[in-house]
Amino acid sequence: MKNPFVRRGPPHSSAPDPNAISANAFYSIQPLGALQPQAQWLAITPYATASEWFMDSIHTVSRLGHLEDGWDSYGSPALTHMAKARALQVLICLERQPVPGPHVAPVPGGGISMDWSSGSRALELEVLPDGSVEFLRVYDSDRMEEGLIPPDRLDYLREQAAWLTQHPA
Amino acid sequence: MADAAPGLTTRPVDDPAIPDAEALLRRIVREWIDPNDGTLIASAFLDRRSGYVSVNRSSLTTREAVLANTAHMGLAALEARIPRRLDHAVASDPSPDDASHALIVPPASLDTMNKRKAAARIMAKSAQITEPIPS
Repeated sequence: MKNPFVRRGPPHSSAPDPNAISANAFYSIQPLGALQPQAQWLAITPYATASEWFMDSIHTVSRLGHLEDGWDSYGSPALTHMAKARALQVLICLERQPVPGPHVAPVPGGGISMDWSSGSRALELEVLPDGSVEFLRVYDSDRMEEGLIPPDRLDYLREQAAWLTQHPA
Repeated sequence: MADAAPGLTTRPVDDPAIPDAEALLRRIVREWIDPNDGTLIASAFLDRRSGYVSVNRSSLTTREAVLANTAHMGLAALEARIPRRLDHAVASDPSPDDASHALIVPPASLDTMNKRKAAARIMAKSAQITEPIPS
């Protein structure tokens, strides 16, 4: 999957496309079979209505994808294709969730982290170089729990986002 | 698992010659600074190759030497007592061209990779940014 973005422009034929939202609508199409065959990872996000944080995060992942070997000065390899692809999948999965924008950063070794803060809670999702996803929940700045999000459990990912925005009374 | 410190065949052990109060210096990139509060994020103290995090002993080098030939990077300092409180080892790992090089080594109990983020976050939030990223 060299380019996960497909621009849907004006139809090349004279017949109008009845499914087109507009001539300049953009879509990201994530046929994730190359990574995991699970249908849950298939997503289509209309860019025309995408949130600002989503677009910013997509651009950041794209920019980080151009980091070269040794970017951290300690010999880290560049971000892996698996990590970049999975990070995009995570963002697409959470785009419709009521979460603030994440801080996206590279992780030495070839991964990507996405960190959210909301009130007294913080959520860190890290995409490892092999494409697996780990989470760290932070409560009240010093209580933490961490674990692995199974690749076939998209609901776990959304559960993490829901937890972030559920503040105890 | 790839080895972040080529040549190491056994798990590095804590070096008692490194005092708890010694500042361990780590180069940082802009993306590791939390825009919400200006502190570091966990990624600054993670390495998904061997798990060992490279630092420099402040007693054996200078800030200028650590940052030499690394444009667009800043510097953070972390007292050795912090990783030790988290059961990490602080091991000397000098090389022929860098006597100050050391490693922060997670305990074997955290070898499952999904158990290192909490410790990395604590180290990151405890570190001080001593040289800001050049603008």
